[in-house]
Amino acid sequence: MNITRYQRLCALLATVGFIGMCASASAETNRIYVSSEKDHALIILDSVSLEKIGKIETGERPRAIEFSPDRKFIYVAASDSDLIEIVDIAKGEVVDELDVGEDPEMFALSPDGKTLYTTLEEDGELSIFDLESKEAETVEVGEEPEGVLVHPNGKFVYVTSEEANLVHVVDVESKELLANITVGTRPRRFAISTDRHELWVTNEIGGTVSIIDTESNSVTDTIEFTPKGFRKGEVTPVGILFDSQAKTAYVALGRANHVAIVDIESREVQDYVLVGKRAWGLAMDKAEERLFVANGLSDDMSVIETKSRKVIKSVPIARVPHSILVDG
Amino acid sequence: MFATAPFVSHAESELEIGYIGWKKDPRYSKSHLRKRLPLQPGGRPDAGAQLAINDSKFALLESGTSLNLQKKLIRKPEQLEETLQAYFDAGIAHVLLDLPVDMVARAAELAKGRPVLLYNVSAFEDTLRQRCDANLLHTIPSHRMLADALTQFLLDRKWKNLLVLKGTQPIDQAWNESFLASAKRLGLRIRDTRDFVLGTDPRNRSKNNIALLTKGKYDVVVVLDALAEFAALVPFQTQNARPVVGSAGLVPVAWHWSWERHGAPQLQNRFRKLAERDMNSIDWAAWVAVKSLVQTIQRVGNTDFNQINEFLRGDNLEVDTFKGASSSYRSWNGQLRQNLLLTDGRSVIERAPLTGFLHKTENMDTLGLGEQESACN
Repeated sequence: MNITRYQRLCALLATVGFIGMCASASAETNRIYVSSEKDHALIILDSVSLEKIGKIETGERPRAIEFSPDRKFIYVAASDSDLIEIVDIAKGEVVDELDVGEDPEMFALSPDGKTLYTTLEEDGELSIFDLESKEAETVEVGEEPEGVLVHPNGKFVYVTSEEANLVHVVDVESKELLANITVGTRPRRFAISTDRHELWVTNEIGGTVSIIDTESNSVTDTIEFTPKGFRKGEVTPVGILFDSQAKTAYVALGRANHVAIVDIESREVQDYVLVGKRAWGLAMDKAEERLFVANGLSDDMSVIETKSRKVIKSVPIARVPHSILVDG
Repeated sequence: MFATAPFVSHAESELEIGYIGWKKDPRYSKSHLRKRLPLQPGGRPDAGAQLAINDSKFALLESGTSLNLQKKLIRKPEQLEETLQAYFDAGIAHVLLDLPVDMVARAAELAKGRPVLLYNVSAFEDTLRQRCDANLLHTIPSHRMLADALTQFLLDRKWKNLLVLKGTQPIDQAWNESFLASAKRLGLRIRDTRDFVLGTDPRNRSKNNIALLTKGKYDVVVVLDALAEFAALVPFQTQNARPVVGSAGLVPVAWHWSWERHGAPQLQNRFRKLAERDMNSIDWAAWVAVKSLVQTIQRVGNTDFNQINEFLRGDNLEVDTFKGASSSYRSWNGQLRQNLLLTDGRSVIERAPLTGFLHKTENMDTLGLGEQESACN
């Protein structure tokens, strides 16, 4: 899925202010969706102009959002409505809802798009929801499960328990816990590289990233962060994203109001980019030229140009932006 | 509702935790509980300890440990000795104390030199922090920590002229002394300090009539009232249109149900399911005491007392307080460093330490007696 030179040009033009020239010229819709926890909606922006162009009402407290594999729908975890909602992008509204269990926060789709794995914070459970039969099963995990990631081979699901400082490895076939890996304090979210057999997990209160070897299911390395002007206790990593080549990791440092840029091979933190307050959610455009950062306590989104590693724009969104999806 | 197993030996992997409360503790009288006053218990805080035990299942999986709480309410203060002795004899090395100051001090005397750790979950007095006992920890914030949270707030708002109303009980006096030291450090001016008395006796009206008590010039009324009954009447009855802080109005607490960040709502909901009420500061203190123990066992991988003691009191402890920062016990006096919340009873207005109050190593240490001021050096 390489992007065209035209798209690259469009993205570049957008960054230097030539707005509107390229809108809807490509297969992608050039839209950005951001969930707002307190305005109960997805805010839609044009990814080129970065202007707000619409809004889709959702259930209460929408948090994680994901595209369906065909990109026609968006799944939305409406935590306080105890539902995963399905938004039809063309219609611009919620068309279905899935009763996956109480207080869903984060979720992940299986590679074939048939199963939805959701962490249920209230019950300390992983919900496994069959999207065809619409039936749910649950697996008991440690309290306050949060991050959930499906291994691209579809065989394992990784789940963090914030309360128990664990990463659970769930076997998809047997629905049993294969391993419980002790990581740093309050583990939150994941990024994976299958080539490197590495699973990275952010530890919010520990202020670190634990690196798990997915072959042995053990922690092999820990990365610490020291952005200028912030104490250890203020460094609260949550969001994490790898580029498609698994060369660079982006880690949102929460209260420390920075995104750390880490060289995956050497584990070296190369840069800290100052963003808005309590940066959590991260997303990139297809060209991987821009990184979008949801700032939960300043109600805005920072746009980082990945090449220069500078914030090129800060866009007001809505109350408590949580997650970002980019199509284009 | 909670496990109150008798003194029996369990499987090797089972670690017993003790809890001692005093039946006649005035904070737990029915009429007092019914008032739901700030900084007061809402019920026995063993519910908090039990929640931390319930939540520990997965964290303690690897070490093969399970925890069990033994709750004991003593009828008379003299029973403290035999109860503690029974715990010691049964090999119970971790005991939560939900007792008034004198009884906590007595328990610390009895535990001296023994391989046990006592966790003070409800006594605020700084004198306990100045005892320098090797095995007494405090998870409830001290008066000085509460005072520092308040004075930081007052300085931040530039409300520098204070009228202090204080109760006449020893605990009120203790809080007042801590408050004075805190106000002095931040350069706040105490215009006057007046004793209040709860009652309606007209002959005593200079001490029980709030309008009379609040005459004069000041920016804010600070009311220090350990049981919070008088304080509850002060807001909106002051002579001048001035805010009230301390034991009423804006109150510094360890925990409040309206706190909604850092996983707090999930903790609240789990507590509500278990105890059928909101979690408060004392419940939180009992919860975090067990939680710090759970984290220690998870990290050291066993229940050996010496290993637990060393890790628990060391710098590598990272207790997730659900208040946004990792906490550990102060090496000099065993106090759990922590953020505090300033609440009006409906919302959390500020979290202390406030922005801009910096410490050379750890900003949370702007709350409470620092290493330099401590008698334990």
